[in-house]
Amino acid sequence: MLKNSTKKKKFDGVLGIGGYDGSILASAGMRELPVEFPKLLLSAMACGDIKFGEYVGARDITIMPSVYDIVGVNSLTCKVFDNALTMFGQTNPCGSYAKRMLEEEGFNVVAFHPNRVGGAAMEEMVNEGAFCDVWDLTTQEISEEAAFGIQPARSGMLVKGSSGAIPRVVVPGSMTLVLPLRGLSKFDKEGEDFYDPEKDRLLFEVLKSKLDPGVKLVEVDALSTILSLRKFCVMNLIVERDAKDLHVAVWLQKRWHLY
Amino acid sequence: MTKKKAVLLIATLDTKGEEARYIKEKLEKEGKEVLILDCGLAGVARWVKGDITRYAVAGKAGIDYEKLQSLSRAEAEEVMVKGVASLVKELYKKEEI
Repeated sequence: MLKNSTKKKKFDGVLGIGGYDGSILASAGMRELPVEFPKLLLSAMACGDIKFGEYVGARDITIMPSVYDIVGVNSLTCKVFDNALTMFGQTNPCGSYAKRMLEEEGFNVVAFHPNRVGGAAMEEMVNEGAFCDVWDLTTQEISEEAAFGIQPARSGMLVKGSSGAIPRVVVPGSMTLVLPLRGLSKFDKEGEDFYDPEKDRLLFEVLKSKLDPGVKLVEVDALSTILSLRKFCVMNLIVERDAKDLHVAVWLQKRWHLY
Repeated sequence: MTKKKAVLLIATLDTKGEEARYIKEKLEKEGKEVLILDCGLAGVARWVKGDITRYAVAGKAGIDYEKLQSLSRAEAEEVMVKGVASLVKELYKKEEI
């Protein structure tokens, strides 16, 4: 190993940036390199609640939490990237589309990864007044809390009073609740294993009956991942916003990719 | 003569292209060289080109990248993991990193 420090090398270190897939792929490359060769993985998966044995193996890979999801470069994320140079993907297309539209409107968009800490970090920053709107496209942490998944929500998510007095679009998950009537995920559309319109209807009935009367409910005849729903959400948020502030939080689910 | 410091940057350029470009530009401004390895499983590389493409990564694992699209996600990831691992190992052995 040490021989390399004396030979002429083209590269002196490896940097990986990634979410779920990217972290697995980049770390696989890093594990091929000897101990002492510098390796840094900036990962949206990294947080105090996830184990990294799978990524690190028996090597000295430094794992750095990105806190924000790695979706675009803006005033907050560039600080993370600078230090390093120091969207689970199912709702990623929707979030990426929203980001482009909102940026055209002059907003700065910051994404959070639903890795248990992502949602908590977003809620804390909302309460600190960092954002003017929230798009909660991925309530995965809450599902995992209910189903004992690996990334359950920390307390306080989507609870009244946790969201600050700012507009928030939740698909489904406030101030506006959007119900995608054609299904909740790519596995939930007609022909797929989880297709069960009756269960969807029951879910929506319960959501509607429990909803705070102050929350606007909108039903959209679409699957939650498709373009018409994205467009609808963007338009809805732009129309409803009442403050042109600096940041919009878009919270993406990045566990599955749309092939 | 002091050689420029250089970095291998591994990312999926369909989803992390913008960030990869930012990091590349930033490092280059600091006088470092950057070699980008694109290990994306789907879509196409955006914002910046991989010096080592996803086609090369899949090819290294013995599979045509286009064929990857017909595999399950887990299978496709397994292929790319294999490709990234052998490519990085090879680069290191060739002392390019």
